[in-house]
Amino acid sequence: MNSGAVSIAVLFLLGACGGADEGAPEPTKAEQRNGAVAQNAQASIRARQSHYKEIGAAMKGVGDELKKGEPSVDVIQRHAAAIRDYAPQIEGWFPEGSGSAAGLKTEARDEIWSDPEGFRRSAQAFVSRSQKLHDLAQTGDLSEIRAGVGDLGGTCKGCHDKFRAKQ
Amino acid sequence: MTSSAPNNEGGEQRVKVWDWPTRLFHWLLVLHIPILWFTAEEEMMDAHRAAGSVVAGLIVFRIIWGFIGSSTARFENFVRGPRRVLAYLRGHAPDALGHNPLGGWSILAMLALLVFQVLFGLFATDVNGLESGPLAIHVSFETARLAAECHEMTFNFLLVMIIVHVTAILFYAVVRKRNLVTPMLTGKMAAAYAEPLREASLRKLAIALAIGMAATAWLNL
Repeated sequence: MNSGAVSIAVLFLLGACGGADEGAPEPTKAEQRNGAVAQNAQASIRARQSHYKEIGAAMKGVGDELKKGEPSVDVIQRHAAAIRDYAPQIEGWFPEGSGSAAGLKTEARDEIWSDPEGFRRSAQAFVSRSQKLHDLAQTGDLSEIRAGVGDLGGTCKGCHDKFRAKQ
Repeated sequence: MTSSAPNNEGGEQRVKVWDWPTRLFHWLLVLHIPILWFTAEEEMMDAHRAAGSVVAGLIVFRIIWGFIGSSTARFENFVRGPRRVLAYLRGHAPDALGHNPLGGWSILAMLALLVFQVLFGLFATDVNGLESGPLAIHVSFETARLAAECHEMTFNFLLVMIIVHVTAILFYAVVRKRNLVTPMLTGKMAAAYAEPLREASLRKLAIALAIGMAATAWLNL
């Protein structure tokens, strides 16, 4: 069996779970009736979900690289740069009204808007740690990078614990 | 329905029904499932991966044992066609030692769910892309997230099967007055069957154990 067939088999297997997709679903009829404001809010939700997936993918990319026998510092630098570039944008991904009231499935908790200072602090922590990881990646020191990934991961978790709904 | 009790035909004596590898497999699984649930809830992912790799080895062992193990552990001896299952449900006594025709299917369903549960866990990653199963490195973040969702969903199915399993044991204890727990501990139960347990050779046990342990070791590399 070639690897294409294996991928198809794996996807088929995973597809059997159905409804597990966290991604942006197609709008329902009720959603289509919503006004422009709601549509903007929904667009924000879709956009941030897709950006967060890219951040997650970059985090996994760094982690995967570190698990290899000979990690490529190049690859790590590329992923670290992607995360660093996204980080300062995060605060802007949550306009007022893009929470649970927007009519789209979102794990963004209302605390994001009721505790803007706390959310800002959490987002800023991610910004500074992502810059740190980016800088560490430039040195190519794998054990430092490893520690940097742990620190950065702590800020992911820290924010998610407070501002992302547990499933 | 006393006529359905499998011990009423002829003399009943204590016979061996489960070999020790099957019993040890069973109780190690019973031990590990709450550990896996707890370590997942508490986000103790190193412990979760370690316990998961033990279960992976246990499942590999059990599947091999289902082909080369002692008679009551073998699939060919407990996976029965629908006619036998219906007959059993109508009160016919099973004609062999070991799992009854209905219970055999629940064992198979439980094993299948465990296989999927382990497979999904191997490829899963958390929402942060930080904690991953040992094979997640081979798939994309999105695929690994889907595996994680499936991992969670399959666990719920597994819980349902465990509840069915325990309920059946309680049913046998209360309604049928048959204790199924002690035989799983001691290996012996009161029964009257012409065909005794055929125990697998030590050589076959060594093969199944070696492959199961190799699976666990490989996942910990």
